[in-house]
Amino acid sequence: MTLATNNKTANSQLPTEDSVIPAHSLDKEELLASDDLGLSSDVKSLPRVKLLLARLQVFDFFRKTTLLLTKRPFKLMTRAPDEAAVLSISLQVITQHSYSERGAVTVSAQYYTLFGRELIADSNDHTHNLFADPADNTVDQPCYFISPKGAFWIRLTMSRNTTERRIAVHGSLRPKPYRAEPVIPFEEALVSRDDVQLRLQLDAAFAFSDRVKAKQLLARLIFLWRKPEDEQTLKIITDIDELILRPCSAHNIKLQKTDMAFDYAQLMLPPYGGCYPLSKWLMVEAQRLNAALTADTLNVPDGPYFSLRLMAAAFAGAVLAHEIDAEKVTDIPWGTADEVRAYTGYFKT
Amino acid sequence: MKHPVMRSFEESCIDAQLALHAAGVADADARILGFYPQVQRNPFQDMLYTAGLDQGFACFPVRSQDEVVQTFDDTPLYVHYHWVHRAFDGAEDRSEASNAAKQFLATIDAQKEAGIQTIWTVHNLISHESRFPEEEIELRAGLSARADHVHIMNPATREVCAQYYPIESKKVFMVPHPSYRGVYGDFMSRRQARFKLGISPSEKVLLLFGSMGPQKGTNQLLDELSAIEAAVGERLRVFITGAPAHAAYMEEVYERVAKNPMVTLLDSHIDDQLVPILFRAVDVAVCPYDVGLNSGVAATAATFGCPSVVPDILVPAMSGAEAGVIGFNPKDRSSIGQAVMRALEAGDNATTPSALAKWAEVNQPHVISQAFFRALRDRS
Repeated sequence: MTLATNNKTANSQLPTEDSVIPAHSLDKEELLASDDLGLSSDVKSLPRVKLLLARLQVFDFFRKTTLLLTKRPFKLMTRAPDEAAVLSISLQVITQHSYSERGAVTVSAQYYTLFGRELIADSNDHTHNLFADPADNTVDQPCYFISPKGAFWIRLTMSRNTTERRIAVHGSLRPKPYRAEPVIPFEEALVSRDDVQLRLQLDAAFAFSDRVKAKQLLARLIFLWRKPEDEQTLKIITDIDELILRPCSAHNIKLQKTDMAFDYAQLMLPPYGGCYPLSKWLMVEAQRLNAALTADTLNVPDGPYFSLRLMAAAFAGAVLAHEIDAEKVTDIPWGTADEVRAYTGYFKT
Repeated sequence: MKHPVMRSFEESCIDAQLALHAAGVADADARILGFYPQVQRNPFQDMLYTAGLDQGFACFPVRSQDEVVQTFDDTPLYVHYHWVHRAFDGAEDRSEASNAAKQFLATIDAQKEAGIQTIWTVHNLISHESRFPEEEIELRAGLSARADHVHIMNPATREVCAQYYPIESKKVFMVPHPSYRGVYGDFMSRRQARFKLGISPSEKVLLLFGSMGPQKGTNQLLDELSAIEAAVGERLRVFITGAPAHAAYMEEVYERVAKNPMVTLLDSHIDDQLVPILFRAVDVAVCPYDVGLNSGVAATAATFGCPSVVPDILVPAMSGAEAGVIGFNPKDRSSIGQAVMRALEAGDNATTPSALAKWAEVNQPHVISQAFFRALRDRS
C-alpha cells in the first residue's frame, strides 16, 4: 500500500484521502527545455480513485516516474515492508544546470508505528544528500534506510536545496526491501554513487590488504560523502604506505648474539587496533621500549602481537640477540606479513 | 579545517604522549587530561588549558563521557568535567533525566575504580539552560561527592552551593576566571567602534552579551529599562547580542524589542571580530542574572576596559577589578539602576581603564592556566 502526501506537518499524522501529490510525468529532455514551464501547471492532484486503488494495493502507481520538485517538500508515506528491514530506493536527479550539483536534493526517512507514533531511528544515516546531474548524464543514486523495530509506516521526504534551477527526481518513488545485489566490477563501482557497492569493494580490499584499491575507493567515498571515518581510514592506509616505503633496513647490525638481551615479550602499550595511524603507535611504543631497555640487545620471543613487537623493535633501532622465525610474522591491519618482514629489516632477502 | 578534528580517545592519548615527549616532559611528570563536554564557541577551555604542555599536562576534549578509559597504566589520567547539564541531552522528561544522572555518576564510579582522577569546575550553581533543575542538583551533588578535585573561580562558591549540594573544602582549589587578554583582536578605537555601530558620541549604551535565555535576565532587564533610565537620569541605548534561546522565549524578547527603538538586537552567535568592537563601543556591560558564580562577559568587558554590572555575588570573583565591576542585589532588582549609574560613573573615571587593564594583565590566560595546573599537580 502506498500513499502520497505533501502535508506540511512533520508529526505523526497519517495521510488523508485529501492528500495531494505534486507529481508530473516529464521526459528528461522535456525538463531540460522546460525553462518556460509554469510550476503550477506541473502539479497534478492525485485522483481519489487512484488513491483508493493504491491503498487497496490494486496496483502500484509508483512505477518509474519523473517528479518535478517544488518548493514544498514531497512526502510519501508507505507501509514499511518488514520490521528492521533494509529499504532502498534508487533515484536519478536531474537539473537544468550543465554540471552536477552536490546536495541538490535531500531524501530523508521517518518511521511510525501502526498507530502513527514516530519512532526514533538508532542511526543517523536516514538522510541522503543527492547530486543533481544534467539530463543527458544522470546516474542511479541508491539510498538505503534501516527501519527501526516496530516501524509500520515509513515516510520519505524529498526536498530540493536549491531554488536556482528546476530539479526533478526520476525513479520508483516507493522504497523496496533491499536485496543483496551482486557485487559490480571494481571499475564500475569506482564511478558509481552506490555506497553499498563501494563499501563491499572496500571490504574486499581490506581482506586482501589491497591498499591501492582501497585508496581509490576511499577517495571516491570521501569525494561523495566527506565522512570523517573515511578520511581517517585513508589517513591510516597512507600512513602504512609511508612506513613500507621507508623500511628500517638501515641498521648496521641486525643480530648480536648474547645471553644478556632485554626480553621484549609484551607490548608496552595496549595493542594497536588499526583505528589511527600505525606510525603514531610505533613512535610511542618505541619511546617506551627505549626507556625500558636494560641491555643493548633485544630478545623478541614468539607470542601475541609478534609482528607489532618486531616493528616496534625495528622502529626503536634495536639489535636482536637471536634469529627469528620469519614464518611467525603475521599480517597487520592493512599490511601483509611480507611487508612487515621487509619493514623490519631483520630478515635476509 | 573541513570539519572538527575527530580523534578517538585512544588516538588522542597516543598524540598526548607524543606531544609530552616532544615538550621534554619526563615520563614521571606526564599527565593526560580529557575534558568533557567540549564547547566550541566559548574560548574558556582553550584559555584554561593553554599552558598545559608546559606544565606536563596534555589536555584534549572527549566526545562522550564513557569514552574515557585508562589507556596507559603509568601515566596519570584525569577527566575534567565542566558544564554537566549536557548529561541530560536527549532526555525528554524527568524520569529520563534522572536515569541519565544515575548513568553519568555510574560512569564516574567506574572511571574512579580504574584509577582515573575526577576534576570538576563549578561554573554555576546550576546551569543557565537547566531543563531539569531537581535532577541537575542531584547530579551535581553526586559529582561533588565523587570528584577528587573541585576547581572554583569564585571564593563564595562553596557557600552558595551549600544550600543545594555540599562541596568538601579539602577538595577545593581556587583559580580565578582568566581575562581575555590576547584572545580577541583589539584594533579599533572606541570612537571608531561607536561610529561603526551607529552610536552617537553622547549616547550612553548598555550591552547584554552572550547566549540568551530566561536565566540570563534579558527580558527582565528590558522590563526594568525605564526604571534604570530614571535612576541614571537619561535615555539609554541597549545592544542585546548573542545566540537566541528557544523560540517561545525569543518571541517575548522580540515583542519587547519591537516596542523600543533604543534597543538593538543581534540574535545570533557573535563573530570574534565583532566582540572587541562591541565592548570598545559600549559604556557598560550588564549581566542581569538572578544567579551566577562567574561571568565570562564581565571578564571580557574588563579585558576591554569596559565597566560591568553583575550580581553582587560575582564581584569577589573579579578580585582586583572592583573599580569597574559593580554589583547589584538580584533579590532587589531596583538596585540594578543604581549599579548602572555607578558603572557609568566608573567609565568616566580616568583611573578605571588602567585598573581593569592591570586586572586583565595579571589574570591573562597563560598565567591563570599555569596557576591551574600547578594547583592540580600540588594536590596529586
